[in-house]
Amino acid sequence: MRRLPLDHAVRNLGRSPLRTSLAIAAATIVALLAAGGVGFARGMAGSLGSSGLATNVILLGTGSEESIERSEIPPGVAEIVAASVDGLARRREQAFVSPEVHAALPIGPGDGAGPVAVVRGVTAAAFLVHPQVRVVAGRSPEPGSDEAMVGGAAAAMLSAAGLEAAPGSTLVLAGRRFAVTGSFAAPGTVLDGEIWVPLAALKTLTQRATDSAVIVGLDTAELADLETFAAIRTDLELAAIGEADYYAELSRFLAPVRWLVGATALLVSLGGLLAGLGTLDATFAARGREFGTLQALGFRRRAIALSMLAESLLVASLGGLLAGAIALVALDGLAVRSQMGSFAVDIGPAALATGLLAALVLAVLGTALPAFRCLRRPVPEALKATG
Amino acid sequence: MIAIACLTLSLLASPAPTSASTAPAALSADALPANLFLAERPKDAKELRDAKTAAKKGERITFTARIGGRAAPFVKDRALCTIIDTRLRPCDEIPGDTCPKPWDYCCEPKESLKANVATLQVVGTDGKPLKVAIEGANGLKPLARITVTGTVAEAADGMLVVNAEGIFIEKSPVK
Repeated sequence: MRRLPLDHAVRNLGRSPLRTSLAIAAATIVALLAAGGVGFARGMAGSLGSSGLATNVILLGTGSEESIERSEIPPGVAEIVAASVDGLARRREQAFVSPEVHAALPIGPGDGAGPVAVVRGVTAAAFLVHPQVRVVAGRSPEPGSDEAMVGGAAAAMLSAAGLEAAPGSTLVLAGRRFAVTGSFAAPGTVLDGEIWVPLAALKTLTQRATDSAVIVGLDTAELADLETFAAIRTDLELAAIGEADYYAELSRFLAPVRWLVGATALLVSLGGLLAGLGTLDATFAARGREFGTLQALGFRRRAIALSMLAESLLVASLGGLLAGAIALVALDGLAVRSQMGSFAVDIGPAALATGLLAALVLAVLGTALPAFRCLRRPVPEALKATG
Repeated sequence: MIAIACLTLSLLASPAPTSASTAPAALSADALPANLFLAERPKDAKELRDAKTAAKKGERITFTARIGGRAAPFVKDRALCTIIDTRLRPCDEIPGDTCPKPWDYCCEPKESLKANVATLQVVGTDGKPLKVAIEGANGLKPLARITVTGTVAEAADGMLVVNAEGIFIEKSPVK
């Protein structure tokens, strides 16, 4: 079979820049939507999966096992558990026991309500039980001060809302001013979407005497030892949950959200796919006379169809690559607010591959229909076509 | 269609969070003391709350209670559970209540719950709970009615911990 050279397909792309641009735009949109949907789902699942350490146990209030933010436990539990349970991780005699308060608070430059972010009240022990957290600029807040340290994803979310969260700036948390003294990174975890302040300051701000939870790092102790502690100290009304289990349960709880986003992306992708099919169809339908001429010159229908497919694949590849670049620049790491704080959209290889594949599928489907319609016509009829 | 399948597969393939949870522990009643479960109900048993009010550390006591008071009354791989006074009504005995874990007594006010709950444990020579599951041993399960003889290990700050020496399980729980 005599084939049309590839440069024929390449040259054709330049013949009608407008049509080619529209086709590339259609492929870009389809690929971007597919990549964005996958990036969102993977970002959410990934941040939850990486947040809980198998060596950590969360002690929280009975009846609030599914939400640290709702949990309340008596102050002083951290000291009691450190003194009562053997086998906890320790560094220079300091037990890995971190009393914390978690609260979702409105953030703003002024007193007006702004975006809501998860604020975690911590002591120095928080750095022992959350080794994923690394101070990347400035310093951590001083105990007892109105100072704050902002996670990378939280800073991105605040920046999108027009708020500066770099060290040296000031944030207003629920109406109270906090000086930002540092930035931290905990990539791929929910911690990255949080703002950390001293425990006492957050307790004062939220007018509570209780803690939300105590995070305990284990050495030789087991989860059962903390469960035993919680079952014996009925006066404290505690429940012990493995940190990884907690986030796994949260992930299961949020699975419908991921599916909803996936389904929405799918539906919008289908809309984009149909629009793209229409664009490609119109592009080829307008070239009926050209295909008739090629047939008259002795090229077989299959050779012409392959050339059309090559053209579409080139357009789709360009669209897919463009979508990948846009996704990496505009979507990757984008902070999304969710129930557990915020997480970053993860445009990884899976998301990029899905986007590219979606564009290539558009190319194949977008070529099949016009190729069938244009090439089945008799050559004389095709030569008389207006296109 | 391939794109749809691809997107769906990618969503399905989203990394699942690592979980430390494992399958429920196998029953290990063999490792519990052979004479722990009694064939006859001990006499002169008090109700748990009455026993709790009068309990002193080191004292021998006998009382009646039900397994419960928490969503997870048993601790995995430990001979330990929480118990509650039998005079309190679990959620499933309240008409119209559909609580999935009636043994947590979530319908009960917190203060009442606190006053009526205690901890039962079977300890080894080191005084710590045996590292063996007690759930399921001899039919021990949430809301089971039991009569216990044992020694008070802790009785302070509103908590009562009893080292069980004999447990009689009611075969036909009265609701």
